[in-house]
Amino acid sequence: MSLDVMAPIRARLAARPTWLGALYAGNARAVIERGFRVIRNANWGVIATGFFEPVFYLLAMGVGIGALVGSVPGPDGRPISYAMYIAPALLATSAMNGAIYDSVNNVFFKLRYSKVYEGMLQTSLGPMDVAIGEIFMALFRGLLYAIGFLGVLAAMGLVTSAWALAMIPVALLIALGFASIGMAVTSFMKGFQQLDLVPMVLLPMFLFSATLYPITVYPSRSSG
Amino acid sequence: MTEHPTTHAGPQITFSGLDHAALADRTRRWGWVQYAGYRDAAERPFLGTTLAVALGNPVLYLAAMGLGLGSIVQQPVDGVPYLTFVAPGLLVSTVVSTGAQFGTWPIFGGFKWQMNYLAAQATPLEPKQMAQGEALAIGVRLLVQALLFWMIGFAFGAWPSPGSVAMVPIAMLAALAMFTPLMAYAATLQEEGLQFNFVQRLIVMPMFLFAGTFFPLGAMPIYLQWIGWVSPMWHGTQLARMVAFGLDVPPWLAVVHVVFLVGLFLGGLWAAGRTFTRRLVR
Repeated sequence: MSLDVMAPIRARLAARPTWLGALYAGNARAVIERGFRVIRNANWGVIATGFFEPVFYLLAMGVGIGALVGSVPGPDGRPISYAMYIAPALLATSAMNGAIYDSVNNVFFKLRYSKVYEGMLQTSLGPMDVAIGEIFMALFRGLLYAIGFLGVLAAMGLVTSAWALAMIPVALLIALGFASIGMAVTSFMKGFQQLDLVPMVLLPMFLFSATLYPITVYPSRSSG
Repeated sequence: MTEHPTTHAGPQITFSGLDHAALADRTRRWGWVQYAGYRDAAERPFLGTTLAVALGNPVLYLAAMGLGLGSIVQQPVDGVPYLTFVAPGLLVSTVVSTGAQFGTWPIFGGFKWQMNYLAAQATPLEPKQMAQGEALAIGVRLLVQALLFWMIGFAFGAWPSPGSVAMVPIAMLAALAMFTPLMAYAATLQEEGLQFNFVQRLIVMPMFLFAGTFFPLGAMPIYLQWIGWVSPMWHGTQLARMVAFGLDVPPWLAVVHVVFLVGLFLGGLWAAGRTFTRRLVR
């Protein structure tokens, strides 16, 4: 009797919950592995540039607007510099942007133009493997940006407590939420023009969520 | 278009009953407008999306930047309240961002994925005319977008005088000055177009943030001010501020702004004609 090379795979497929059978092959790892290979071979430069986005925001807003604003009241009421005020919000924003970029623009491109997923679905992989794998990659990107930006903040002297490290899991949680919803929304899109609707939803969150100024500037009904 | 003889002895009616020479003549003269008509038709299914974005952007930006950020910027900027200062910059920079966006993936996709330029190349249309048609179609779109922004800003009280409507053509010109050079570049790319990520993150984004939209360029250290000088966004914004609230700009500098934008637009259009031709005729 010949060695059954398919045995472990068959065992894995049999171990799935039956109600997921049609969607999931239990092998999201293959999609993740592909993601890392693509980063290594093709687009690490693209990922690296995403890191500059929050840094540019911090410089422009912290230096430029900071010169107009002066200081703002901190959480305990004491005035802090404007750059210090916006830094944590920009970290959260960069995690959101990194996750959205991977799960909206990149997923749309692979879905509509390069047809990567069609290729994947020709194998034993199911749509859920693809989704989990891609969301994991989006999270990885969010993690990279969060760590990088935290490093920049520390270098600029804007971090005053070791608790700042807790921002990284928070950023990952943000990235998970946005990546999942972003990917779900993208699956309905028909043209690249519709991708513009995503920033239309993100922009109010970015602009009105006390990113750039304290929420107390609003009338109290809309704050929160 | 001197390389094509355009005179004929008379109408040359073929068996199909059409004067093909006359049709080709017409396309050589008006093909760029016809191409713009095609672009218009191709964008039509997304009209609702486009309008939603064109109306939503000004409301969001004016509310968040003008009123929210404006409430913590206490002192006047360039002699006017912060909302008045920032609003023209927001108008110009959102329109220019749209122009930049249309100059990247959509042009590249026309060569690589949708191949509409390859289809057009099978007609008497010349590559140069396709670039001109793109600029015309995008120009009209940008004009409408700028006009909607202006109307909403007017309702907001962001610009006091009706004369500020002159910002609309200024914003369109600045956006086209961004669009045509990018279009020329997009036509040269062969692979997946990953370069546009660099364009977006390292060119358009810094221009938006550093080139005098949210604060006067003078607030930046001098070694960052050059970002404004080379940016169509800054030149457009300065002109827009002149007509919106009478920003004090010496006349020679105003001329520099206009010449810079027109030069970039025409130079980009010329270059795009070259790169389109090189891509399609070989």
